[in-house]
Amino acid sequence: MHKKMSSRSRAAAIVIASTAAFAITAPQIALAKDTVRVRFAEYSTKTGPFFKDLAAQFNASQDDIEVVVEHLPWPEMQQQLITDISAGTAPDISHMATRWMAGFAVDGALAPIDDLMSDGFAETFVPTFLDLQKVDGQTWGLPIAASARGMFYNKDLLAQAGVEVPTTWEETLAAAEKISALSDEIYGIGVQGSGLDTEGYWFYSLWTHGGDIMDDDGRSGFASDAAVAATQNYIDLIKAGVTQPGVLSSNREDLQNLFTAGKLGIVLSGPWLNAQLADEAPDLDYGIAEIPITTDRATYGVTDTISILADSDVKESAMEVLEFFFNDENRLAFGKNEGFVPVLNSMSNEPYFTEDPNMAVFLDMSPVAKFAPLVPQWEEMAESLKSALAKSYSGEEDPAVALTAAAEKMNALLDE
Amino acid sequence: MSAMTSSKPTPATTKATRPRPGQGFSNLAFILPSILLSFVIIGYPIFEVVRMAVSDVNRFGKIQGFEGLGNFFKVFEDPIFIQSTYQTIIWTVSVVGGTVLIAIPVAIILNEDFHGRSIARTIVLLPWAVSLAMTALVWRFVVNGDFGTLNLALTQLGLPFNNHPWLATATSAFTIEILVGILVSIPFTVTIILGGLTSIPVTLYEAAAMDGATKWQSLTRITIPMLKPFLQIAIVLNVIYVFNSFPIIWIMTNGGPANGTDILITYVYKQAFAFGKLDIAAAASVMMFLVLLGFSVLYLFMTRQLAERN
Repeated sequence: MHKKMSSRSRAAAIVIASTAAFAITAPQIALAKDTVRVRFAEYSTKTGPFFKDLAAQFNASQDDIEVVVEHLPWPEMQQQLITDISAGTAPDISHMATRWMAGFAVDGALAPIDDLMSDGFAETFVPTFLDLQKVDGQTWGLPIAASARGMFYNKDLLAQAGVEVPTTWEETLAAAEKISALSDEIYGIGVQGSGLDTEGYWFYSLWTHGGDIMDDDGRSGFASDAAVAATQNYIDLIKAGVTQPGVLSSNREDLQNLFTAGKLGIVLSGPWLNAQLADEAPDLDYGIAEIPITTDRATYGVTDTISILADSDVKESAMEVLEFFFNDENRLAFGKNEGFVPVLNSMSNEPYFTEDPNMAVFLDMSPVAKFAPLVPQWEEMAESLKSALAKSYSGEEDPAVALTAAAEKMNALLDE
Repeated sequence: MSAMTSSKPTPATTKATRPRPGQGFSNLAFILPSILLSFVIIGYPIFEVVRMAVSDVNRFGKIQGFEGLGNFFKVFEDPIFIQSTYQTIIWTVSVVGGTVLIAIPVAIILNEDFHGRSIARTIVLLPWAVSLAMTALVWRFVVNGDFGTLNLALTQLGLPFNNHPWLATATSAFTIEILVGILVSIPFTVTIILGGLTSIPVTLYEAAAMDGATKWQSLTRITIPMLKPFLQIAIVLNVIYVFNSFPIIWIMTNGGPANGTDILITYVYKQAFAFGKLDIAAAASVMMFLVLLGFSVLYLFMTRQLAERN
């Protein structure tokens, strides 16, 4: 069905192209020019125009491939892509969150790119980020964006409380106590308990306590001793009364808003908070440090992926387009545009990333970045983890009991 | 259109002409296109949902095999489904019960003649004019612990609610959602009850007053019994709307904390669009559909009874 449609549309394209060629009497224009549709999600208002510019450059540079760029807001991407894949109208290349990719790959919607990439191209990437695009030994896309997380702290509040920047969770509790004591309106540290990425906030504690999402046997690590200790770490902060009130109703934006309003001493967040702070609180004096530890240095690495769809008829041309978007110069310009951590080896020594302390900290932590696993049912596992965390933070259930239930759910989903 | 005009002869001719044989067929032929259209538009989606509910479906909606009742068993084995069902009952009973209890006195007051009655009626109907999603969003801001106006107002009254996080526990979050649900259901219910009140003949009250009935007696012996069929309809229609109402809960708490405010419709949404399990979502939808079908039949039965009584 899809094959038939696309061959018909290609025939139409050839007819149009040949009429056009005839009209301008330039028969040397290739008749079988490949059209590559690329869809991007918008990180900011700059994303769409940036890639439209690049596409125009690419189209002007050669005669074989015509790139057409579309862009959509993030919240619409998943639904739109699923609908388009079902209807056979998906673009040739699409941007997506890496955590959706595993599900798409397993269901046969994506094309593996290992054999499409030219020699040496894969080696230009920071290995951790490219490895993250692999499922079942095949590469399903390229890391279009990467970010790490760090500890944002309000310098004025720390100074008023007379504390140094904490490096361990023990020091963090002590510092948060002193900051909270400043006023009823000031809270020591933010702990997230609801909404998007609640599980991510817990991973900071999990990994820095030496735990992991999956153990060495590929089973759930949600209920390991380290996981229970990591949860207890947040419960201690909550019980000490040094967090914002209402942890269970605080989502990521709530915490960022409190920090921006100068009411929160410490919050764990990513580079995008720099942009919000520059915009809404230009006078707030803040710094970014590594995530406090108990046993291990770690940060949460998150990437987004750009993949070639399985239904594309022009996979090789699509790969050529991707390699152009990911050449050193274009990728650097994109990273600077949006404030992401470098994904190419060549970018790592750029002054932009190394000299600005608010960017450099994320770069320094890249080697210890850990990632959410790429399993098709991840969203559902994360949901049951969120429930377990809510029950633990509220004291409704013992963390070991709640986490065991989440681990069992995860193992059951892994077996499906 | 032509069917309507042709069926409007004078009463005399209606009585005189009995339907000719074959006229039933031509009537049917006239309405057949509408019936077919209804079947396609209403029936096809239901057919698709039922088909997905008994199939193995991938996240792109492609059917990959027959599953029989397997999806239904999976739904029943899920403790969150059971919890959501229980919460759906609480949600529906509380919102509908609260709405009716508040709407009756409000409608009775609005039925009295007083200065500014039309303004008061407009104010009561106002929540109807605002989209449900917007109402929910505004209330989420109002009850926000740190920046919300509710805590500001309570603190200024000298109450100890500074920074109180209303949505942080399931009980208080669910209570607030139910109150918002009641607020947005009141206009519709008041409208139905007002309609009922106007249908009660004034002579009944006059006769009762003659016989020395007090205001309270006319309320309990005349108004409430005469309103009964309207209340029944208000309850059934509200149950149908509230049972399936998605935006308030989704926007205010997303079903959290710890699934404590999930109802069936948010459960179905998560299964379908967050977890990619369209088959499970379809099976749960079929069960919800059957419940609502029961209420719809009840509604048809009641309206028919009302029509017969009149």
